[in-house]
Amino acid sequence: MKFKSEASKEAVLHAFSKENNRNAETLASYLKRYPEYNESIIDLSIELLTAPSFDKLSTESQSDEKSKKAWLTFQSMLSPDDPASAMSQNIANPLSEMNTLQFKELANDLNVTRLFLSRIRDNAVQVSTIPAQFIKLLAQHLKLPIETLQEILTAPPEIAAGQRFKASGKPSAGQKVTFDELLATSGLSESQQVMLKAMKD
Amino acid sequence: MIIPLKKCTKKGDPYQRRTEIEDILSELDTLAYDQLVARLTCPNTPVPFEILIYYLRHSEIRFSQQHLQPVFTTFYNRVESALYRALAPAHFAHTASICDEIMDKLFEMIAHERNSQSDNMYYWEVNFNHALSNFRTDVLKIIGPARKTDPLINYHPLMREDEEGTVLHPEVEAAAERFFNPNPSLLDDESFRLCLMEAINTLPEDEKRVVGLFLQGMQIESLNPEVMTIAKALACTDRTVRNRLSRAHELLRTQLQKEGYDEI
Repeated sequence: MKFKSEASKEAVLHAFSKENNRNAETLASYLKRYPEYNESIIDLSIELLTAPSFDKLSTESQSDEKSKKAWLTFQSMLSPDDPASAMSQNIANPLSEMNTLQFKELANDLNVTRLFLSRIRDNAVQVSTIPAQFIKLLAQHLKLPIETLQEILTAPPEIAAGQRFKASGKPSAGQKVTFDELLATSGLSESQQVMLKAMKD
Repeated sequence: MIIPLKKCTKKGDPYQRRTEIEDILSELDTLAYDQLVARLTCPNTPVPFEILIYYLRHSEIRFSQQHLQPVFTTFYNRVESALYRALAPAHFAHTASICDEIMDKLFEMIAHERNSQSDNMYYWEVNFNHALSNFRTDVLKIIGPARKTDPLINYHPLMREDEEGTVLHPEVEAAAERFFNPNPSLLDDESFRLCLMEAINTLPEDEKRVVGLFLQGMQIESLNPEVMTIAKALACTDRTVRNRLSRAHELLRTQLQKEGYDEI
């Protein structure tokens, strides 16, 4: 019985602390309704009365340097699967870490061309246009959570390491293409294109 | 969808946030991430702290670094400035280190909350002021200046045994009541209010309760038996209430004069 009474005391105090307009009347009504918790309600009301109004006191300060440092410390405490963590920005792309043979095998397993897969690897495709079914299938092969794979592929387009350019200008990664554009320009056979199109939602 | 508080009563009813907070969250819930972040960080119409802590402590919202960092920075700057301004003069010499300590511990707690998706900080979304105030007190107990220097800490009321029978001069009683009903403009002065509230927190328990109830607008006594009075709430006579109020007045007046409020 004691346990039950303690729990309801907690609920009563919680209800009091979330009252929008606390005044003598509100307090009196609680004291009348819950005389058994009088002391705790009174003490809570005084704690709430004497607590500083932090909202009123706060101003936007200009300590950019300090808040940036605090952010980096905070970020370093977050778990790697938190999308805001420093780690999540640096998750290695498993497609980039494959050797040629592994990459070729994966392309075969997925029944796509290597060109198709390499453009996905290089983040050259708009992730929002890739069918969820394909992302899921790729995530399964790479043994990654779907969200993590999506984050990896959302990063800006990359120029694959080892890629050679004959142009005189400095090479740069272009705009991301849509999934449809990818299908049309990746040397896929007709049946492969049909199979991939069928994955679209 | 707004993430509900996980904490439930023993009956299984979920705990609720204040209505105004729920209303703001519902409104924000319809915004796209970019608009949402712009609203949360807008300096002209700052959102309540309860809202900022909601978006900071729930990793389920899936804010990326790009979205979370500005919200974090706004929260950090606002809490830091509020903590600086809320520290009593007694702590001035240590203000920077106390603030840093409180902030470090607070962000450790938020990071833990995000990583474990636990609901230990649910109350911060219900009443941020109270939660931060308690948290600050806990940190001050550990690292604050030694409380033995506090002029009120060793105070022993001299008239406690016979407080029922002691009749104070009416002028003393009237002065006490005037003190606790000050000119509203004085209570609007945030730095005076902070000093007064801080001093009230150092009063002995009985005096603190009487003052706390009086300041909330409760009457000392009433002829109407239905009306809740301080004497009824504390199960004592109105004479005792007046005596405690007068003692509190003396203590607070001394304390506030030391802080430079000579006209009190």
